[in-house]
Amino acid sequence: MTEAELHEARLLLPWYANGTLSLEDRRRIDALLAASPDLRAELAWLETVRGELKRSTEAGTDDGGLGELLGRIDVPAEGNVVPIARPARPRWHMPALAIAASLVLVQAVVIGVLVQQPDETLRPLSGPVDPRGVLLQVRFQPQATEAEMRGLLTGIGGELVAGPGALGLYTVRVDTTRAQSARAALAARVDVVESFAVVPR
Amino acid sequence: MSLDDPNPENARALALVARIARHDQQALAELYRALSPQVHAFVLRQLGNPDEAREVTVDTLHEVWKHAAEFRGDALVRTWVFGIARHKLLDRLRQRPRMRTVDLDEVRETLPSEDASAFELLARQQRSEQVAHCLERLSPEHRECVQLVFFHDLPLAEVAAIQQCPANTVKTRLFHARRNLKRCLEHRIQEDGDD
Repeated sequence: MTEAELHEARLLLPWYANGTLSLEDRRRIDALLAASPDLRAELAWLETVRGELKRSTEAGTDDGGLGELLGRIDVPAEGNVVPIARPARPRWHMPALAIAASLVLVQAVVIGVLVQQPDETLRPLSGPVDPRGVLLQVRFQPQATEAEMRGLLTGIGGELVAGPGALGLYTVRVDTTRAQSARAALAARVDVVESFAVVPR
Repeated sequence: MSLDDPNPENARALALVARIARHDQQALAELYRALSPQVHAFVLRQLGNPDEAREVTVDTLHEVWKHAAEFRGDALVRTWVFGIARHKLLDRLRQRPRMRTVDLDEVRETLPSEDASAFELLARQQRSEQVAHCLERLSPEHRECVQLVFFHDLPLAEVAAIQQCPANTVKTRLFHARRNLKRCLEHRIQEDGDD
């Protein structure tokens, strides 16, 4: 055993300890360990350091990080979205969508008629909507109820400005100052929201 | 991915990255769940602040989302992601006011011997909080190296790829880090013994 061999073995000891050395290097160090009590003691110390480091390092916790990440991502175009947890659509899906679309159409007509009436009581509750607000495209889960959708949109201060489109997407406008929290809230409600994306301006 | 794949974990991660390149949010969520605990632990050790560590972890996976299509698979997915995290981490550290660092070479050597009895004594007496304390006193590069090898159990080549330096530099860097860690622990144990 030469001094150079021993020095090289010392350099490689940490990877011997963590089990990632090649078989060839491992065998070479095994032979040196058998011959050197100092090397064995150093290895034993490194193994205690490794164990104590693992014990003293906090495990990573999610703490809403995933929701924040999903709320931050921009999806380029409606056709390219591959959403979160897309469940298999039931067979009654298409007729139900058609009925839902009809209801929205009826609502749109009713709202349109109301808007055209000179009724001064019909005003947005929170003042004029910022036309430069952030637009979000949202696709709701097929099983989401109207009350859940309404509750979520109310909660984020969202205004439904269009939809549903041919692919079932709704366009929702939120105030710029609430955009971040709105995205986080949408990301957190995977039971109601199937996918969403920020519409590029 | 096949049963013969030498690194099935990386093969699964590669498949997720390919899906992320097609803007698959579910794949991003899966990769986040798989890698964020490791990335978070890596970043937290350097920053010491859980909130900042979470932000850097989210930033890192956000970069993965944006650049997944550019990843050619030359490195392991984990190496690539850790490399991104390291860049984000260095950006954060640069924004911080420069802190006074302690030169561990100035720490008095109480047990200067490198022989077996010195290591055995240290192994018997040291405790986790002392290891954590002394790790904090290493230079960022030394601390990062110790963490990648002893906590994340990464092979030499992967540490070199993440730290963007030759393998021999990593070996020498870790050798010096170990020496400084040992000196600090000896000093700390003696201080605790004096109290």
